[in-house]
Amino acid sequence: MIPEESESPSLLVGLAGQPNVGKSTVFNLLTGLRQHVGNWPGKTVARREGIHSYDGVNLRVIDLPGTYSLTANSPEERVARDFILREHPSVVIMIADASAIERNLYLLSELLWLPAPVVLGLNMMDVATAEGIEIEAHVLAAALGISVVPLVASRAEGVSALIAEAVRLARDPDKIKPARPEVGAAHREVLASVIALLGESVPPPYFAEWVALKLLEGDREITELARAWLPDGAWRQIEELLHRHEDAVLDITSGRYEWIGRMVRAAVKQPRLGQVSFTDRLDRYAVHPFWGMLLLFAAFALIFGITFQVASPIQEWLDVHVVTSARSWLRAGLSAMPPWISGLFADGVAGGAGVVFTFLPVLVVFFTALALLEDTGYLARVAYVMDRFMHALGLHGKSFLPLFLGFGCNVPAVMGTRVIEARSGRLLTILLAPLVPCSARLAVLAFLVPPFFGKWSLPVAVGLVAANIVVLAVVGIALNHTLFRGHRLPFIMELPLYHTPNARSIAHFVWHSTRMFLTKAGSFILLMSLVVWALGNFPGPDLESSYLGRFGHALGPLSGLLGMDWRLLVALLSSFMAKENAIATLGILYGGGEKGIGLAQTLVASVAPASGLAFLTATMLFIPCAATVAVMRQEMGSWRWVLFGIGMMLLIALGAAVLVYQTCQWFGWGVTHA
Amino acid sequence: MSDRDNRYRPLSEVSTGARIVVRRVDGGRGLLSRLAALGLVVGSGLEVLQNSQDGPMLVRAHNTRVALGRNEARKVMVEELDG
Repeated sequence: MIPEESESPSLLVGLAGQPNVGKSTVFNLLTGLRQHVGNWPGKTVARREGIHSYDGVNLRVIDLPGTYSLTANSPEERVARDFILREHPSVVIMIADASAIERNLYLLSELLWLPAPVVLGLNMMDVATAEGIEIEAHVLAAALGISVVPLVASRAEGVSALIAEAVRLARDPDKIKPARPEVGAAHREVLASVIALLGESVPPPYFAEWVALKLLEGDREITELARAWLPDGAWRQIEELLHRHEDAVLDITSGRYEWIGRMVRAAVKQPRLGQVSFTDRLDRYAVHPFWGMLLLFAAFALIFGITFQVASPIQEWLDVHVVTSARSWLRAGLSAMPPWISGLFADGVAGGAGVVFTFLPVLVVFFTALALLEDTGYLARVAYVMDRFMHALGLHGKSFLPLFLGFGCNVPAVMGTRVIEARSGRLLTILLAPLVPCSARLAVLAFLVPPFFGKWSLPVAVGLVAANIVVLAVVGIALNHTLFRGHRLPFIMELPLYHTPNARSIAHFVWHSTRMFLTKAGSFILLMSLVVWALGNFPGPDLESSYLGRFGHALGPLSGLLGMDWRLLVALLSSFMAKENAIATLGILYGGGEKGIGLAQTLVASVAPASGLAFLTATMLFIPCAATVAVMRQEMGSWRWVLFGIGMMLLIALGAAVLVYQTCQWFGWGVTHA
Repeated sequence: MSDRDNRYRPLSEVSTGARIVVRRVDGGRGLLSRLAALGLVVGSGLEVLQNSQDGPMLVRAHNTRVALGRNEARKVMVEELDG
């Protein structure tokens, strides 16, 4: 939590707005590094909170999730309106995109019904001007009956005026008389009847007028609540009214736009029709079914290029110069101690920290790419272009990018699912992400396939990756038709205007995501590293007689089915810490040293190709690595789903390996040693 | 079906470049309110920016570019503005 600065008075400020309006830019400008990111209680929606000092007052600014409206379609929308209803902010600042002012005022038309004074910050005035839109803020303010402050947040223009206005309003909330949209004449009577039926039954902080409006709109959360509040008789009458006036929602939504039309009539001058903007010109290619795909793959090739050219060498350097030297330094320093103590620190602690550490370069590159794609507005185009392909999996276009990042590393893939608004879509994408073969698994593949399959290496490797993707698709379709049935949300998405990325916002995103990985995932990885180290070293003296080795031996009955002996099984288990550990473990168990020199020959001599293929199949599909598990827990908000995902992958991996080995047996392929 | 209704077509069948007005939405309240929040309500004027034969389509409403899945576009009944 943020330290209380109790000596000065403080005001609670809600920062509301639709997505892509530069709200985060305003929030970062106000709070700088004095911010805290957590989750809303019981939700996986990020809660960003920060402090801004103005004129001797501390403003506690809460960055509400970006929402297009305040009807409970998503957890974000509930969070935003519950905050205003329950936490009673002194003032709500709504940030709007001046270039799409009418759509933005839709949120305002809902906000003005809630019991909090509102100031409107009209952001992206420069973009609006460039699009040929002229807005007179004071005319709009007069129509709306609230203060309107023009902003260009990307250049920090107007933000202090906005805060001054917000503080003034918080001190004297009654000075504004906002105009509110009324319900159309056709349904005014129905609304009055519902209000009358609700009577005194609505408990605070809710109030009858607003509840009646939401009931007519068919808001699911409010309908549930009202059913519980009211005596049966009254509820039945309301239900009957709502049923008879199902079309009221059309009237209410159209009524809001009519109101908006009246509000902007005098204040906003739209450009002549037919003016072609930069966004339109770029979109001719970016969303084109063919050129759009080409552009997308070029962009992603660039991201992966940078990863391998920049991040991988840094990762290697860190591994050799920092992690390995720290480990030998620890081992030397602790040489006077019993061997298990030096092992505990040099292998358990430093090994785990090393895993966390070597993830960083790749994560920073991916987080930067994600933030850049999102901030420029291109991410929405990627989703649009890929939507038709993702549909079959019950996902929509927005799931494509996180899954694609998974080829580099599953950790940013799981964390990247935050771009998907709907919880069910996010859960399904997180469950599927570990099925994307990450670069560590591809490295294991590249190391083990050639010695086993010689001239057949390429088709075998490609086949394994393709089979992996087929499994992903099949699991996606299966989950979509069972657990996630009926959860598919309609694909309706704004494609925002392209704009120059804001370095500050990107830096904030990368910093917070990386820090979250270090603090949340880091401790889990360290703990797991210690557990795995202990299992592999006790009671000693070597890996074979350790708990891990004994466990491998105990799996004997499975060995026959899988075609893997205890050594292969232990190597598979050890890949839980990090996928590439499989090679190191094989090195220890088969001899040939940890670096794997000569390991290939030894393996081929003692493992039949069919067993090798079963091992590779299992490795590709095996449970996610510790780092991925840690971020899955963080993003899914409960262990239940994580365990479900792990169990599912364990079954799939073992099932596929059995299938592969038994098929080879049946046909007599590769059952004898080379 | 009245003469008036005959003039309404699903948005999914309207070709690129057309200017149209939303006349009806044949969906549940959930779909309706999500569309409304992005500027597609009964009476909204739209411009079709892209409509290929399959996959999602792109329209402009209230100066906002909105992508719609094909299933969603089928439920939005529109009337073409002549000339």
